Amino acid sequence: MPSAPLARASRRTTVGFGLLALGGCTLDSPGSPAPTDQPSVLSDEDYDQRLVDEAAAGIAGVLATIEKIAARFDLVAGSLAPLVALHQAHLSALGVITPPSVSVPSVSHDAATALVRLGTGEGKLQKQLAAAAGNARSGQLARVLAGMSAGVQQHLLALFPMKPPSEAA
Amino acid sequence: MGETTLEALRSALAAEHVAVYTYGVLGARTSRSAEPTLATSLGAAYVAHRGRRDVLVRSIRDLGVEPDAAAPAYDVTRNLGTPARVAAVALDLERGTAATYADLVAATVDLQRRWAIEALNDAAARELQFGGRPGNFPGLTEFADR
Repeated sequence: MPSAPLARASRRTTVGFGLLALGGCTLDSPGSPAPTDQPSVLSDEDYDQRLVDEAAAGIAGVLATIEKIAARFDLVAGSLAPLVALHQAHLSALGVITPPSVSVPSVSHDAATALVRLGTGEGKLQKQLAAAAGNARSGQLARVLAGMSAGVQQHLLALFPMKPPSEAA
Repeated sequence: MGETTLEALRSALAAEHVAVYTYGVLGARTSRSAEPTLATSLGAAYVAHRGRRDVLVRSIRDLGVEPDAAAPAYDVTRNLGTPARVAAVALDLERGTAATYADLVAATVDLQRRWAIEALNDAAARELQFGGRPGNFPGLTEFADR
């Protein structure tokens, strides 16, 4: 399966539509039920676009936090580089060229505390991506979001091998 | 891609048949006293894959189709002389099952999809136990270089 359609064009144009354009998935039923706070009248494309926008916002928030921690604590900046690359790759896969602006929470003055909070945030993002994968109307979008969720989990386990923050959250 | 749900379930079952068999072989070649961590990971993986296999068998039967039985044996490399080789084979297995479950995610909806997402995440986590390094898109082979 070619990856190019996932990385081209603007945020709005690519994600839902690019992934949907890949086609290929065969859904045996009309799709996942819409979340209760979402109108069921949304087209499949708009519904998935909303999922992608929400995922991009979640990723951008965690990424901004990481960058803030790395700027404050030189000693941990190197160990956080793989996380930065992970989230940038995910945004790229979603077709996001310019991450959405997000408000970044304050970062603790204690590196250990900041990392624990970061781990909690990563765990929440991992669950958000998994949930979005479960709800996506497009099977292809679901597959990509699920793979992203698994990627976040792998990095979490590598950074916090003894006690994954996603479990502690 | 383009698999129907049934095709994707059958592919996943085929992968789990291989995994269950191979983990049995890997476990038998691993000393619990000499390599306790590896042996424990192999045992846990065997149990997990056996459970996934059983769920897939039921899911296929629920569609009114008789699931494929496991083959009498599967080809497992004979080069299992070191714990590193055993772990490498296990890592390949997990990468393969992760890819299979990613495809199952695309071909299913609702509860079956959520189960597939969980299975993908489980396989991705086990990759690390067998020496794998964190990747950005486990199970998505087309993103392997990203």
